Amino acid sequence: MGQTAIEKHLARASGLDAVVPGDIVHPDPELVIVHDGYIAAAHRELGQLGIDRVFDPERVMFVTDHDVIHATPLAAERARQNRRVAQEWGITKFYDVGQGGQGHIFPMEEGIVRPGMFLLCYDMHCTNFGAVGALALRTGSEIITVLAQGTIWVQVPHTIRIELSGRFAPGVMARDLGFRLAADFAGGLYGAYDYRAIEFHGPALADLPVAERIALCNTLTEIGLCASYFAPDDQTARWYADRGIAGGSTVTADADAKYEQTLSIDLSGLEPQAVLPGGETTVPLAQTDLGRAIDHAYLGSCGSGTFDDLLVAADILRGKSVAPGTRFLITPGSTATIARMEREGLGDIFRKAGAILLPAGCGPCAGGTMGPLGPGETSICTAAVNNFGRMGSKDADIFLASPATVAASAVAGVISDPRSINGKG
Amino acid sequence: MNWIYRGRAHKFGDNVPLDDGFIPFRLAIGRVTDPDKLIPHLFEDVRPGFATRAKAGDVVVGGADFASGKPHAQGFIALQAMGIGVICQNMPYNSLRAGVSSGLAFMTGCDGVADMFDDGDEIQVDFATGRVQNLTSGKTRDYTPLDQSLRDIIATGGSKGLLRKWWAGQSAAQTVGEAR
Repeated sequence: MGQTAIEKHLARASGLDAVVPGDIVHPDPELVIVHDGYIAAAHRELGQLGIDRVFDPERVMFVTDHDVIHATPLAAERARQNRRVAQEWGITKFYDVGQGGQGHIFPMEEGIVRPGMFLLCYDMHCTNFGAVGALALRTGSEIITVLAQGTIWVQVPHTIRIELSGRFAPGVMARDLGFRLAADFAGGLYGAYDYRAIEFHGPALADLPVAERIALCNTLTEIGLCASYFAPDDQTARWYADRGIAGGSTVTADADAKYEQTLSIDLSGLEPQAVLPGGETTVPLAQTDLGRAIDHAYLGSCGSGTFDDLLVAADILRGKSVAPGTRFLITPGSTATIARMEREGLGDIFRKAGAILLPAGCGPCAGGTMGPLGPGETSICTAAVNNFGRMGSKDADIFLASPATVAASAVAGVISDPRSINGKG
Repeated sequence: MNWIYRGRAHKFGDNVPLDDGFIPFRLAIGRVTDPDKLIPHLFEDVRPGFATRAKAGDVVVGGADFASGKPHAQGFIALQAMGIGVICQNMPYNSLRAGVSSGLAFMTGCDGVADMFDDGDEIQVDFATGRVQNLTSGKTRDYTPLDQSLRDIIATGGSKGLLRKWWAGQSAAQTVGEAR
């Protein structure tokens, strides 16, 4: 019987010819990624068990993206512990503050994560790596088992196939599709979704660049899907060729692969979406509080921090200013993107418009360690989640939307439809 | 490990979340892991007095989407420490992981299991074979137990027990190697 690409990845990493959903396997990761917030804790937990080393220091990577400016003395102390742990364990792939950037983005830009790889990671948004045909599964605090033993039990998930056709209308982005799909899955429109993997197929993929695929993989994560996946194709090859990176392997589904279900979605019918404060409800932007004043807008995070995302915002901000009374924070996904942004003039556009450029990383979405919201304030942003209190005050309202919608709103000072202004989305 | 639990069935419905269902969220966010501090608060939001009434061998019987929400293990840690098992119609995958990691005796994917019991019925569950019996009504059903490899982890006391055992083996092997 044929296998889905997800099943093939897991079979290969587990040294098996084939797996089926429900199998318990122990896959061997090519790379293990731990984020800055859990490095010291993992070291402490393993230390309490007497374990003083990791399975293979060369296959462990530490990234620093949640707290990149050490906004408190406690954060500075934790970062010092992280450096000590990296040294003690001999972690050479240690990306300290000012290095790399957002840990779910820069590894794909630097070729550390390549097509065909299998990874185990601490943080749930490692699902981003499905955008380039890698499979990464989140372990959470069980990462300590992986760090010690080099593997952990994994149940083979069911795979859902989604066929994408058509093209996004102007002003509509993959983030909008992600918001809609996540809401429709969570709302029960498509049946079971807990711990399902999604494979994207269909004619629309030819025009869907990797940056948009990242946004889509990212946005579907929070509802409990375990992976989203795009088999490597010409778009993937272009992403790596643009960065002078070669290598990787291609894992694709068999023609007779068995999917739990297959959905078909026509992109051309989609409108810009907004996730309302609290995260429970997603509506077409036109049905939201258009014209509501905003205090805070923020572009970036693991779902919308690629150069392409910034370019969409720059096209909207070019020659314009951020509205008085609104602060517009921009968090590029990586140090490489900051360099390219400056080379290609985007930095000037943002600064002239009065936007605030933050260092590469997670930005305000990481618990509001920087650029937080005050009581009664309203934000529209590209953050991963918008539960109350996510970015500071519990009495602030956070709307989630696409980079185009966020940039258009920052210029207008009110929640705005990107299709209503002169910019391309 | 004794996989056969016999005691009272504590019947719950569908959609009982881990946070503010199994145990107050404040204990999860406070990262409290000491069972003695957790046990008095078990199910206090949905069934006050549970901790004083329940005892070792009892089984919590749940419906659909049981132990839902963020996979905070505090409730499982407390149940495991009390010697209480869990059976339910289904729970999210990450909750299943938390159950294994906590060393909890449990089964999920048991269709219609909640309909087998009234609260307080006498229950016997063999978590190794999957047999669920209502000793009050005489009903018996056989479900699929957790995979053997997961039961092996549970038998060592969960993921930390497994690591402790594995590391002891590593250290012993190293000592033998050095002695040669």
